[in-house]
Amino acid sequence: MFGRAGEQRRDQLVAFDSDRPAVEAARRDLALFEPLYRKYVGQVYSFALYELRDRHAAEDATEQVFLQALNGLARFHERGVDGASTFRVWLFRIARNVISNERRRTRRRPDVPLELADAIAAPDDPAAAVAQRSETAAVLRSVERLPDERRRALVLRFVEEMSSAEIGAILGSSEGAARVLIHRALRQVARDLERVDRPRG
Amino acid sequence: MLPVDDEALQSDVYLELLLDSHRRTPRLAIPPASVGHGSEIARPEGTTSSDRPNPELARTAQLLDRSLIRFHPSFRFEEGLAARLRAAAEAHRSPNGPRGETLAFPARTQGLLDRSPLPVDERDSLGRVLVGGAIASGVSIAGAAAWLAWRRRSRQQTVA
Repeated sequence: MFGRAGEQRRDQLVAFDSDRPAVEAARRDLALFEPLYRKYVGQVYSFALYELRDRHAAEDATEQVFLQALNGLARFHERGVDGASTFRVWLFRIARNVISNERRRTRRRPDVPLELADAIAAPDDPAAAVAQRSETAAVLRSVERLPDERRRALVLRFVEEMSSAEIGAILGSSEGAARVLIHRALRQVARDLERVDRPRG
Repeated sequence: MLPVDDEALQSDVYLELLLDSHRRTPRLAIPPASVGHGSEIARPEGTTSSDRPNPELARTAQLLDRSLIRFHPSFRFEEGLAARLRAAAEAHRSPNGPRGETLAFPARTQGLLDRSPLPVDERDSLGRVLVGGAIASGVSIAGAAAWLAWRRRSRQQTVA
């Protein structure tokens, strides 16, 4: 049921890929790859930063992703055998692989991602700022505790504002499976935050 | 109780509306108290009560929406990578292709330079001294060989 719906959605994605003119121009002349890079560098970097929790590692991963994309652009097809549908989905599939390799290599998992919480804009009121910072840190800690695929799905949904169909295509699953993954991640974070908010008694 | 697929679909619709509400209006920080336990849950514009998942999930979705923001790399990194990508694109366009890269000449002296006690900024001049020394030594050996050959030839002519 979901597989079929996913296929239909994927067709729609192909039909509405707004990057197609830029991709075709870059294929003809790689010097024209830059607009695609400028459009997606923030998204790829952000995804890498949430996954790796380290600015330098995120920069290295971003560099690898774009160099691989530039070198492999000739092999990109909107509907390749690997299920890639749009340029953005294809780029994030590269990012997912690069980041997975990096995570396996470094096993970097800091306990408290406070530097991210600090970076998030705080309200003017100092008391509210403190409350928000601690709340954000609790949310980030809870997201960090999720299993890898659930965490990735949640970051792609909230940070990159991708649809379930796009997330499914990036993670190599159907749209329905991605929806369930996100829903389970939401439930797990909700339970986790509930435990933090309401300790024993 | 709804099956998990239906619950997931309900959450998905809610998230789509939640995210869509600030695609139209920029994200605003909601004071933490407004989404705390027992407080009224903000409803994304256009949702009806049947679109919303259970209140706990809706509250979590709003917290995540506020906490998981996008970060941007530094200007320096972005520009540096743009330059490296331009160079890589240029290498693809060259007749030699992307593999026809030129290696820096002093590569063989690199190991020696790395072990040098000189400060890093003075090692480049050491590299030039090493290369210059090698050339000078080659020239003197060739000169000595030519001089010996000339001497031997002139002795043979004297004896004859």
